[in-house]
Amino acid sequence: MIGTYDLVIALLSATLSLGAVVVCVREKSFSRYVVLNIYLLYSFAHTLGTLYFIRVYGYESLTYFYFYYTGDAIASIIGYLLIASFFDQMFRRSMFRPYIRPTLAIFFFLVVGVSALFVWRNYSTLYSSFLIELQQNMFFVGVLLTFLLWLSMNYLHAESRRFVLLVSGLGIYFSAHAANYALQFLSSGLKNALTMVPPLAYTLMVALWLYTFWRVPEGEAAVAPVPRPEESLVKVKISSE
Amino acid sequence: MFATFVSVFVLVSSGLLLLFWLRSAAQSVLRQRFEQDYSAEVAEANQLEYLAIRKALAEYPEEIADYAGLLTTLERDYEALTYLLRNAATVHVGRYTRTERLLVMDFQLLRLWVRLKRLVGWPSWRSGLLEMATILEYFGNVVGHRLVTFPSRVSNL
Repeated sequence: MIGTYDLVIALLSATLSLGAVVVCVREKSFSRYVVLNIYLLYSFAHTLGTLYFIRVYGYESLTYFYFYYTGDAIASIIGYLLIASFFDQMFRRSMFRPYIRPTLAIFFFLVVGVSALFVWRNYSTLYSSFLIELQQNMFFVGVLLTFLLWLSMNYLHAESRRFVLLVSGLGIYFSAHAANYALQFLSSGLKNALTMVPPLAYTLMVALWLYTFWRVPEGEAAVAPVPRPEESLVKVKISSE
Repeated sequence: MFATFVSVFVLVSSGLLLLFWLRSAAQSVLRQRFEQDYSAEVAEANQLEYLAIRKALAEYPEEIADYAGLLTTLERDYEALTYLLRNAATVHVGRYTRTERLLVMDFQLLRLWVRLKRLVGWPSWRSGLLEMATILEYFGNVVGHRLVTFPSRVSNL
């Protein structure tokens, strides 16, 4: 049986995901952020599917287990593609453009290959601490990639307020997951309490994205330009009274 | 043993980066645009220098030699603006709003960070001072908007 906390967070995150997609469509920026929208729609479907499987087959069932973890793996793959799409978007006008896609593709297949090899070699202990360690490492790759994205953004002076918020959301999601799995690996006693963190981190990320698409216009600079005193339209001063 | 070491490393670095991302997101959310920018008027009317400092830091940082002087000036501007925030044209006299409180905390942390850098002789203070000036610009805008919304204590020049 699913707890109240999990149910509330699941419904909240599903609503926010769908809300972000709707705002994106309304703003006519669906195609510009197509991977992000696919990720949100997939997460929405996965969350609802998870709730359905728990209700029909139960929390302890193998069917639910396979559905959840397979779905989570696919979400991670789309997450990597999302980071790749951000890199692609950022380097679109730079001289590095021809090298970005092949580099990201090689990196992606390297991560998938190494993970597959690890899983295959440790198949007998897959559902023990190995799974937690693998998840921790996978999410840490996401943390490093997101930080690399941030550094490139600063180096290229390509930061817009919208981009900063979108990347910050990804950073929150990946670093909260990586830290959470590392803590689970180090202290198995905390496992029950720590399982509450990933859904919360996801909800925070989606809430931030919804805010971004809703309130932050495309192309707004991350740092406001300095206003010139001579451009003042209304001169006000605080009275001494 | 190696796996434990890796996990500790992942935990520490991810934890620090989580704080970094949360701060970055909070800053970007708070850095909203105002329909009418009053920060210049407020700075001019109260002889505050945060805009001039921000301009200098953004446009010709290599010409700035006295960072300590800039920090002192920004701190003085901060005192004046936070006084106005708490007392000018507000129904919550003596208090900050939630957003202002967050930015005040951010400013204090930056102040500490810049002083720490100065203490250990780290040469680059620019980014910290620039962020402090940006926070003051936000405060200036808030004060300006309040004074225009409740004009009884504002006189047009």
